[in-house]
Amino acid sequence: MSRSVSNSGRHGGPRALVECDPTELSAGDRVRDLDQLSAEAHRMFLDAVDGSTRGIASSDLSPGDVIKFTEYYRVV
Amino acid sequence: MTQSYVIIGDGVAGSSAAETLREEEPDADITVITDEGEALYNRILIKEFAKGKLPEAPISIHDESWYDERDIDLRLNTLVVDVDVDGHTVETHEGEEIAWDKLLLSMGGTPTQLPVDNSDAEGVHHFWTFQDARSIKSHIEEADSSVVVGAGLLGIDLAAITAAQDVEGKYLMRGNRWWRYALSKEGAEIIHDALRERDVEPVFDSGVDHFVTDDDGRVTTAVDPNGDEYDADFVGIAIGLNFNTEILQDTPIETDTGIVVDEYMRTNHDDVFAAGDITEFDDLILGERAQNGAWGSAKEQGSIAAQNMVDYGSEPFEWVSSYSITHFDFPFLSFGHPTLGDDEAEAKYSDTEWRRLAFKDGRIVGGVLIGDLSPQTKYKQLMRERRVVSDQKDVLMQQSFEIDDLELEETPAE
Repeated sequence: MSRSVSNSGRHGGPRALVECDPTELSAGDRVRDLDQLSAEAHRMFLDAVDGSTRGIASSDLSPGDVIKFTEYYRVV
Repeated sequence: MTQSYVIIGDGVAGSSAAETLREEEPDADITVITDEGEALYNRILIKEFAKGKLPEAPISIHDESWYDERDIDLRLNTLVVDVDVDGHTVETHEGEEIAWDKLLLSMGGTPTQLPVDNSDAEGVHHFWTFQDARSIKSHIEEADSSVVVGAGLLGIDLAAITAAQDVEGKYLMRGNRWWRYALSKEGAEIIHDALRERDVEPVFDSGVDHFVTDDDGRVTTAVDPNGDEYDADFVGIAIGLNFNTEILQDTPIETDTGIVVDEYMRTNHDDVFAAGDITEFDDLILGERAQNGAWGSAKEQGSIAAQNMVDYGSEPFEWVSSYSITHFDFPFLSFGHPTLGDDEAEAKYSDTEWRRLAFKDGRIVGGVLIGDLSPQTKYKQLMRERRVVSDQKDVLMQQSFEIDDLELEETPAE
């Protein structure tokens, strides 16, 4: 499962979210619940999921991070 | 002189405090004591482990090397049995005395036992620690029928665990709806429908009178106060927490249901602070004493407590908490104190979209959003600014509400 829900800029620009399968996570993955994001990342994440923004750019969200919301999402 | 800090509890409040103390005081002695057998883990996500969605490894946040690298002395499997405030020491279950200049109490709570017959039978579970989650997962994978008790935020996690494990269940509630102090019947019905879709049947005006066990002491049946019987070889109970204040009974530290602190997380003793869900703190936004068990609130309290342990009065705790439920196809978010207040407004927009705000003295003090979380940032801003807005409920309840649509005083209220 890798449905993209937001578009990514490359090379340090805004990041994208893709749905991911939690059973395929590795031990080193950082997995957080929505409630564990900073206020800024929380807002950007929700905007990206509902499609009102095209990418996310928060210091609290790094490539590879996995966020549990109504589905699991990975920052790419 | 080198300061010594002792922290009781290694949840997110205690761990956050230890991290902040090390940043603020590079040379201090810092000891973290926990009765659990593992370092900080992700308490929010243990329900995902119990559902069978997440493996164990990502649940862990800190391993012991994290403490070693920061020169923090972590004591696992260690229970504090006494606090000597005058002598500035704590005593462990093994009789060791550990001295401190400043003490942080962040030892959280223990699930409340249901005071009915056989509530301690094999197969009856509470849900608080990672070890609880392991036990629940192991059992629910073998179960055929389940009963969940406790119509609140932890109870619905247990119901979602039984649903995710494809175990048919009954969710026994004392009142006529789930989380009745924060949701109307209309809002709660969205949750009830989502539970029914997952083979978890809410049972209202119910509860548990007693449990029946087999000859081996394993639970088989829950009997409610109406005499109705529900098959259950798995029972999950989440009716609240008792905060772990018993070690303070013979001390001058002020307690009520939790530990009373000011906005700087200090108790009534100059050298003793508290953080996390165990605190009753001066909520500057609400304007009265409050408790909060949300992750973000506990993490912030730990950090604020640490800053004030180093330099009292340097930073007050001022926070609007959030708590999400993500078990269903639609999101659910509560913020602030949705169970408090003297006025309210609510609106339903579709079968899965509903909203309610709680007001006190005209100001928003909390709310619940189901389906569409987009207004939360605006509502929280109005809370933080203490805006008097309850006379504009029609604007606040517009589906695409904007702050600019409100008529506001130029200066936020203090």
